[in-house]
Amino acid sequence: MSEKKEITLTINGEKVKGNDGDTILDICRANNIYVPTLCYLEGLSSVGACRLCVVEIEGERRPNPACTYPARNGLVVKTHTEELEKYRRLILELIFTERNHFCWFCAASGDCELQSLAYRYQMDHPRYPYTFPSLATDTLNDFLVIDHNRCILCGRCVRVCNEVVGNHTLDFGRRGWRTTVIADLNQALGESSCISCGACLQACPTGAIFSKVSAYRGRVEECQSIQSVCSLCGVGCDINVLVKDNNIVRIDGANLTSPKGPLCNRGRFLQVHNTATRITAPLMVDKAGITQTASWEEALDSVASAIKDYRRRYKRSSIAGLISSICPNETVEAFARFMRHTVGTSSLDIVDGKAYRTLTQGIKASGKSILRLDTESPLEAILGASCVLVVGADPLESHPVAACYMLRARTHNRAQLVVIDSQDNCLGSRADVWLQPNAGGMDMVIRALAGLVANKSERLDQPQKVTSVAEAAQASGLSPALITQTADIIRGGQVVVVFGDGILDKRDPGLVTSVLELASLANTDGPKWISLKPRGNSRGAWGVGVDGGYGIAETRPRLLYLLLADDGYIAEDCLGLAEQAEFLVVQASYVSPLTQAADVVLPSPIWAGRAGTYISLDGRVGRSQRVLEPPPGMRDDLEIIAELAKRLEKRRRMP
Amino acid sequence: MTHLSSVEDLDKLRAAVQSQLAQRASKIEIKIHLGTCGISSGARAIEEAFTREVQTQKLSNVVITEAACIGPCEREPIVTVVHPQAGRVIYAELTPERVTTIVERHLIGGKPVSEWTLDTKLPQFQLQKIRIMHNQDMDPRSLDEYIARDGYRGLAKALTQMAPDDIIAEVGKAGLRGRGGAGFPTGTKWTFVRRATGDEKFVVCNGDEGDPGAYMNRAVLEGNPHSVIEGMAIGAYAIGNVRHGYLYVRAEYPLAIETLQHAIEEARRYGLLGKNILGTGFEFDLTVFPGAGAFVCGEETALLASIEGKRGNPRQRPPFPANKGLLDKPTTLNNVETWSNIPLIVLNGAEWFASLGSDRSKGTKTFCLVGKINNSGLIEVPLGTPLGQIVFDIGNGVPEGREFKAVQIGGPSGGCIPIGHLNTPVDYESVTALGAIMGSGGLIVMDENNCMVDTAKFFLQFTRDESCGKCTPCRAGIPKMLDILTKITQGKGTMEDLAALTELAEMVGSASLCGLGQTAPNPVLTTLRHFRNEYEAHIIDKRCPAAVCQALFRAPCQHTCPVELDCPGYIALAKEGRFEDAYKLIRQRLPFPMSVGRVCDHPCEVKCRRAQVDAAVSIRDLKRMIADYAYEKGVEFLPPVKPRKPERVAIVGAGPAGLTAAYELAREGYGVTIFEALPVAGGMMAVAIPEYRLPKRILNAEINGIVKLGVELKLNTRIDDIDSLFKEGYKAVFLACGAHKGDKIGIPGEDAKGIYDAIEFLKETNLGRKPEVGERVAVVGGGNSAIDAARVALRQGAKEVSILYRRERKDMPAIPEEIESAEEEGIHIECLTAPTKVLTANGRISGLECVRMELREFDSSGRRTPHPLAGSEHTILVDTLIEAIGQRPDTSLVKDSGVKTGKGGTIAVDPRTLATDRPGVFGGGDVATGPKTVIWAVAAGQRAANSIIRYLQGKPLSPFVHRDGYEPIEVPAVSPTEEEVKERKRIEPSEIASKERRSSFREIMLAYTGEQSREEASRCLRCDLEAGAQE
Repeated sequence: MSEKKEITLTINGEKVKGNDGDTILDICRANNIYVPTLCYLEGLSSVGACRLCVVEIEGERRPNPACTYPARNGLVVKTHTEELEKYRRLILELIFTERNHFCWFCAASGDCELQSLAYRYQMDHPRYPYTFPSLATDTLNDFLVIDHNRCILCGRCVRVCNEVVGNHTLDFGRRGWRTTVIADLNQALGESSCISCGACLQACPTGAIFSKVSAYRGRVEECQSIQSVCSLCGVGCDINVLVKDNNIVRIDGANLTSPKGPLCNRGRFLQVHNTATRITAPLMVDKAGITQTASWEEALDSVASAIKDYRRRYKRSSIAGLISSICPNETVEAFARFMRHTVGTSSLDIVDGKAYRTLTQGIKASGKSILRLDTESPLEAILGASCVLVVGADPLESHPVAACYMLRARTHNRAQLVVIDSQDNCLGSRADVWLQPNAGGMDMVIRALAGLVANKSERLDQPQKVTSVAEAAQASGLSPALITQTADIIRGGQVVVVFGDGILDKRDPGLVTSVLELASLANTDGPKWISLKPRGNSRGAWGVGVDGGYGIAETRPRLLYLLLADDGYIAEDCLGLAEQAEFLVVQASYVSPLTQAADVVLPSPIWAGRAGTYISLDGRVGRSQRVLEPPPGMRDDLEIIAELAKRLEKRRRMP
Repeated sequence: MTHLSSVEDLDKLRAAVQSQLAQRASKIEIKIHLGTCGISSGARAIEEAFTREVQTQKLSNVVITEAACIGPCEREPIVTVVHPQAGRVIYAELTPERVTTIVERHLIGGKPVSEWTLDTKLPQFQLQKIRIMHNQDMDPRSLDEYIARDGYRGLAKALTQMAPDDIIAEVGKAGLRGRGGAGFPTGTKWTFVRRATGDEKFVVCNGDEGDPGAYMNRAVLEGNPHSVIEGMAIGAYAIGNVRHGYLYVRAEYPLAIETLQHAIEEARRYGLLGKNILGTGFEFDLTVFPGAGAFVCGEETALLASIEGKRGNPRQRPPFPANKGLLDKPTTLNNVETWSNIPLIVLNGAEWFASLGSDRSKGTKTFCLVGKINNSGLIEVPLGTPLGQIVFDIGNGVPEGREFKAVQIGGPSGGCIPIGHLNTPVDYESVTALGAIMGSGGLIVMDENNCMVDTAKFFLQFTRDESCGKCTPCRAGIPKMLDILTKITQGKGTMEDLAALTELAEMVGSASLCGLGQTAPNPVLTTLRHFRNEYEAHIIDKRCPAAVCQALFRAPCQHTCPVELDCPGYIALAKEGRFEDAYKLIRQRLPFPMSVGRVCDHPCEVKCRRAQVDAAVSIRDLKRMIADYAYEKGVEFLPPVKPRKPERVAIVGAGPAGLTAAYELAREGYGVTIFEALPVAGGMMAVAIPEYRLPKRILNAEINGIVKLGVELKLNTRIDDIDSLFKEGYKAVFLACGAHKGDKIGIPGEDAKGIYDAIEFLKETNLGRKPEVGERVAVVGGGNSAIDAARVALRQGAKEVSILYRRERKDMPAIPEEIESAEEEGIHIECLTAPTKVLTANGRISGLECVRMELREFDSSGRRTPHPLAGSEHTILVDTLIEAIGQRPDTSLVKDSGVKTGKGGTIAVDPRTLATDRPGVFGGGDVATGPKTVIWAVAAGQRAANSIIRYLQGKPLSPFVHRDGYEPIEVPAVSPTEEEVKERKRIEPSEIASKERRSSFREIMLAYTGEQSREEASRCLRCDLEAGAQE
């Protein structure tokens, strides 16, 4: 790649420098020359719609928008002539009177770009009469409200929905003065294809799109903005958390127009307004069998003595530790060290350890040395793919932002999207092909596809594993033509295979092997595959706390120490283990069936109350910050583990 | 042989088809013109009728063929009959019944039925230059016929004899400019695309013709589809790397789309589209893309987005389509007509093309001439043809003798060119200089009944609805401008609104993203520039001069009447036979109903909406009947008079203005003295209008009605100095002394004996002094006094009376009915003639040396200027000459009085308050405006009285607003029945025979009978009731 050529132009009489390919606006911004904008948003395509950034360019008959005009060497530009400033004021007046912009009722007041411009241009009142259109307010979405009365039709929401999210729910409907932003074919947002990612909300310069959970909670200037990383799933989106008075006001994507910018509804909204019941003090079951609040000392002593008791009475393996992979690496490491060295048991597992074992055994069975966890492709590979093959996963549900990569690849890079899943699948309806084999036929279909793809490239390693199309069709209930057609799409190109819980939860390493085989055959330059791991720090936790055995269920633990933290999802395995245990310690943030069954409950901070590092599903390390002060009396997970260790070690050392 | 694999094949086919067609020429060919216009006017039924007739009559030598629209769409269905012996004849406005006659008389009898034919020798056809439309008379579905007419020879020449760069150079040299409106040089555009890098490029034809009233492109696509296809193929070859083109045609043109698709299929079959065209290895194919029905898709970037399947929004340029067009590939986009010109340029050369047109705008251009025009339809003229020639010679002017006002050119993006610019050559530069744009060729003619504010509003409504809504200025600015215009048309506008409108228009024009927004303010800006007076009339006077803006008036007739007489009211009363009530209603505003009922030039009737059904209601004659009825029945009408006030007002002149002012002031209780220099009262009504039009007893009766209110009338009293009036104690003076001084022609010998000025001549006659009249009288002039003088001269015993007029008869300002009457009486009107010298014998006129005139360029009033035609000098023998070329006022009385004079020797007054520069002195009627008609003088009298009253009361002057009548008369609110609305003739009152008229001063026109007036009154549509319903 050659360096961009430097160009020089004259703006407002000053010589300024920029690069070939920049727009005039780019160069103005780089040189601290203020040019007002409304429809422009860095990272989105520029459309020149609001006309606030119009500038005078020598040789042009009319003012041109700076945001679209390609800069050339020697251009002479004026950004603030009297006429331009008059136009800008006039345009602002038109926008204000076109719809019902009454700042004093608006959730965005104080954070509104239109309002700021009005202040800047000292527009204390518009000189034209208000039109007072009666426009609907769409409140049917769970999180978002679109108030068309405050919309300035800048189209930032439309472009972010289309260009970044790739979902293209929003667009313009009708034309001229009747133009409005519509969802799909003018449906209510809540009844449309909207995935409630909230990217539109973040892109909106006014209060036309606002969030039900954040509205009227506070303005940006009153908030502290803390950069962090979302731990809800393995995508690991960078987030900005806006905090006021130890409350989360809202969560934004740290860089909206980057692939991970859109966030998902969980990451953006659910964490702001979580209705689950917090546990803020330790709980113990008393002699009468009633759960009572206890002091930290009582609770920790009780756990420590139970461990000692079981360790004395039974084999060490009768004590087991189980930790959620929602916890950061530091916590998982400390927990593992505590269980292994302090307690002295090797019965240790992660709640999603089963998926890990299925995956690694599948890789091993494939017999290919290049298939290792660390050879997985980054999510960015999806954007460069000519075909994305999604097997046994519904990323739109489980990893929505990863799904956005796929939608983008499809709408903008013309990638083919193929979904193979027996279950209901949200992405399936947006794919080019959606194969829905019978539950038992999945493996057959994948192997048949592998065979079809391989026949052409003649690189089949294990021909005996191939299933014929007819067999696969019979087993899966799919038409043979559809299978062949799908193979044609997959074959010969940049194929990225993505698989998830539909494969990993099956406890069938053979299925993993088949999928990886297909991934290997589909690409000429090595397999490209991504496994959608179940929890936010699965990859990190797997690397630290899991052995390659068969899980702790095999050891039938009598005492189970379960560090659940704020994991809202309880795997069936956990419940089974908990029921079997004679003594159950649960360290968790929220009340759940597990905490209700526990002998001792230790309160655990939520994500916002802890700091730590996470490893995303594709291996990127993210660092989360503590954004909220925990409620009084709360202790950090690491502190709890240390306290327990202290109690156990003390005794050991004291003769 | 249908597949042509070489140029030789093409030549062979052409020869074969030509000989085939030559054989057909021995038969009678009937071409049915089946454009959209023809079909919608019933051309299919005509085709069936011909087929049926030819079959029943067993005519074996007749072939019936189909063709496209040839232009005069208004007169469809049109059929061309080509007879081997009788030649080519075009029939218009055919009905199946007429077909039978044509078959009998023309096809069998061999003689064309001349009353239904189009006279192609008329300027309408002779001034056109047909190039684009040269194939409109052939079957558009026959590629063979196109080839026979040199079709695809241009493509063959381009592919085999020309290098791509040569073609572009030729197009550039020809000076062809984009026919879509902006006029960008086509050669330059192609060069850009040729130079743009890319191994795939596109050519696109813009057939999304969406301007209201424009359908030129439709006609070409329907009539000459192969010319566009051939043009695009040549363009594709010239630009290079083009293998595919798109024709974007609006979906509202189903026939054009179908014809194009048929043509493309045929061209493919012949090997003129597809791979290896004519064996040259050149590959090109076309797709027709029906537009989605949005005007904005005519904008190139929106059009391309639409073809790509996206929302038809324009995008900001640069990058231009020449570099990044369809699918981001270099693309050239040209209008239908531009493409259609290409084969002609390639085949005939740049010089041939540039031989027509003006300096920088070459070639011909098709226009749609629509609106208030006699010959409406499609025309083709060289660029640079003067606008006036298009409107008046080709279009034959405005129907019904109404006054031409403006031409709207360029559709919603264009502007209005007013009457003062008829000499403007219609080319890109000249039209742009006037604030309009050439556009794709829509010319909408407007007359005095078009309100320009309403016109601007109409176009803004269109652009508001058709804006894509993307950029703020266009989306939000146009509705705001429309709001202001609407406010103005409702009479709620202020002068500040005009400033706001201009400010918005300028911003929207410069800051909008695409051409739609950039040009949307043009209709507003041009009307503001050329018709500001109409805006001001709406704002200040709350009047719509064209009587269009319904919120400002009850009925157009009443609104147009200078005194706002309640015409629908008295007509409704007359319909019920309540003539006395009708009379009372009239008298509340008009002190001279009998006189005005006889001599009024009735501007009300020009605006009468009944004219859209058949003819205007005879409002004047109804008024006369009502007034005469009251007079004969002795109905006494005395308005209430307020108690006497101390102030006295002096009025100079006892004409209609002075008398009316006196009447109004007397009613208010002011003492009024009228000073009249002549021995009679009535001004021009008494001395200039002949007895046979307005009998003196009628006039005097009405003057008596005014004097009865206590007005002092001093006859034979000339006022030379207005200061003396103030000295005598008059608190205010109204100058209403008329315009009695006749203008001189300014030719040698004018001081000879036997020469009169018309006013003097009529005055003498009216005062009973019998001026001496010879045997042969010439009257010079074309106004009412010329006609009056001529007819009086006839009655005074002249044997021969001629009127010499330097323009054409249709230009004569006199009332048309009066001109007709004069001719009936035997007066000869010699048009296009002007005297140059008076010949004398013994100090007396013996003849006139005259010259013929020729009308050339248009003057600021829209009339052509006469120029003497060299060598046409001739002499006519006359012994009396009456000069009736104009009058001016005698304003010597205001000398040194502080009252200023204005144009044409008039007294300068504020037109709204009639105040002069000197406080307390007012002026109105002819002395302030120059010669006008009675009703205007009456209006001036009312206006002056209003101002004088306010002045005497110490109130600030304000524009006059008519007060309600003092005696409420209930007018029946009954709409006309369906039967009454049906088309029927206007009732003309009877008149005495012309023979009897010549020798007598007896009144010519007779009043309606009661029955006649009730019948005529029932023709009124009662527009006033609709106005009420709207409120």
